[in-house]
Amino acid sequence: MAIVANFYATLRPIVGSKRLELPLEAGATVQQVLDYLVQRYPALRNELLDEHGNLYRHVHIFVNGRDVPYLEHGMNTSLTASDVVDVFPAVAGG
Amino acid sequence: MQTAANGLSAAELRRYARHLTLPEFGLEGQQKLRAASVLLVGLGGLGAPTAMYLAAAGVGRIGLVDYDVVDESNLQRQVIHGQSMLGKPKVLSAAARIHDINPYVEVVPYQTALRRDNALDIFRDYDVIVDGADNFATRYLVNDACVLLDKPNVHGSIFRFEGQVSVFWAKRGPCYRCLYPEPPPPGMIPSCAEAGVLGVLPGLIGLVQATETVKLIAGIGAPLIGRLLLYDALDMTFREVKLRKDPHCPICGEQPRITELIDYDEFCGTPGLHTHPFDTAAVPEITVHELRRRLESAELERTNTWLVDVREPYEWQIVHFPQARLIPMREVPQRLDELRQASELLVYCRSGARSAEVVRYLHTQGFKNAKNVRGGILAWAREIDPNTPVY
Repeated sequence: MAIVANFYATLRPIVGSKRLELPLEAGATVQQVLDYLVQRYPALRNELLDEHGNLYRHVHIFVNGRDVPYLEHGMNTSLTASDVVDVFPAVAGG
Repeated sequence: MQTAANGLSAAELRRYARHLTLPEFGLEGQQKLRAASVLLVGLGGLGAPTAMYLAAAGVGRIGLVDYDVVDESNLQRQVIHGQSMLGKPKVLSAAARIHDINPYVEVVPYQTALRRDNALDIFRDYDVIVDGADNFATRYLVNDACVLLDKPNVHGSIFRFEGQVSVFWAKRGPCYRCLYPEPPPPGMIPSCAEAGVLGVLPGLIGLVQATETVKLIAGIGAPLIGRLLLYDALDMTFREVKLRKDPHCPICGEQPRITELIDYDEFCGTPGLHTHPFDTAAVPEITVHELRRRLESAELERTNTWLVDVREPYEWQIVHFPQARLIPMREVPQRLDELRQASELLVYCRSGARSAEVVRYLHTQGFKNAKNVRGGILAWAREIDPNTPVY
């Protein structure tokens, strides 16, 4: 099984689908997932990262339903096969 | 026969019979609903179904905040409004519908934009606030007013085929700023008007909000506090993620820096509702009459002037100038090199508001030759060619 990432809202059309299986080895960190994504989909960079390369504060990466900043190792958290990553921005429509 | 038994009349007992039969809800739940007050911020896609169900359920007092009037393009999803209410204030249209659904509900309409100078006064009189706004500035305003007054904020937001729902209540869990400490840069996340929205989507999200509101009032079940539901209509999936209260949150954290309402338009970098949407005088512009003259004289090509349409592709399909090139607003920052080939840029959109934002942005990037087409396609339809499709 691969690491699966779900994309929401404005991110989805950039990636081209809701769900991606990431071609990364088990043990890859959340940071490596992010690096892979912005390299593979350059248009994601502007949607995810500010001018300093930090994740925008209206964007979240969750691993198995947990917000990455609150994981013990944060962006250095290692992922295992079958982990599910959700990447989503704030939306405001009503 | 009239009865004052338990504070509900015989007619009310008949009306709410199916609630009274629910062992977990019963008479006590119904009495709590009748004693409760709920404020709906926004009577759009989310507020419309929420208002109808909360009224039917028997919430005693419902406040409605919306400055807008009913437009034809609303009717695809804002089910509380009908054809006969086109052009009427949404709060009055909704109030009429609520009275018809349940005459026992007291409705308080506020036909105004929610602002920092009226939010606390309005919120103070309500037990639960339901956020169905359509912009980031109002969402931060709703959150901050709720935190300052210790009110639960039943949040729903939508985008195309997806929705996000949670209950933010700083006393019992995270607030909106714990999840989203800062808004996106202006223009990065399109609105429903810009991006489109599946009509049935806000029905579902709004009714999750209505459900949470009823649960909070009746004190039943497990509220959606500290949890965010991500709904996807295309996959038909609900994903739940866990939210944490941020100890460094600027308004509900251990050392709050925000202790009163702030300027939310400035915070979000968006033009305020107190600014007229067509007040674009801050950027260089041309009128639609000047545009017509230049189009008819075929001057654009000679002077290497580009007419740039910054709307979304679906809007382009509805109507566009044949001489124009489509560069949707959010692609502009990535396509500056392309734009540099032009000697002059004339930028338009539907109303002139988005294009003014783009022109303002282009000027910060050194494009001193960029001008806004004032009033956009709507002005063209009004002043030049009445056969232009408007939407």
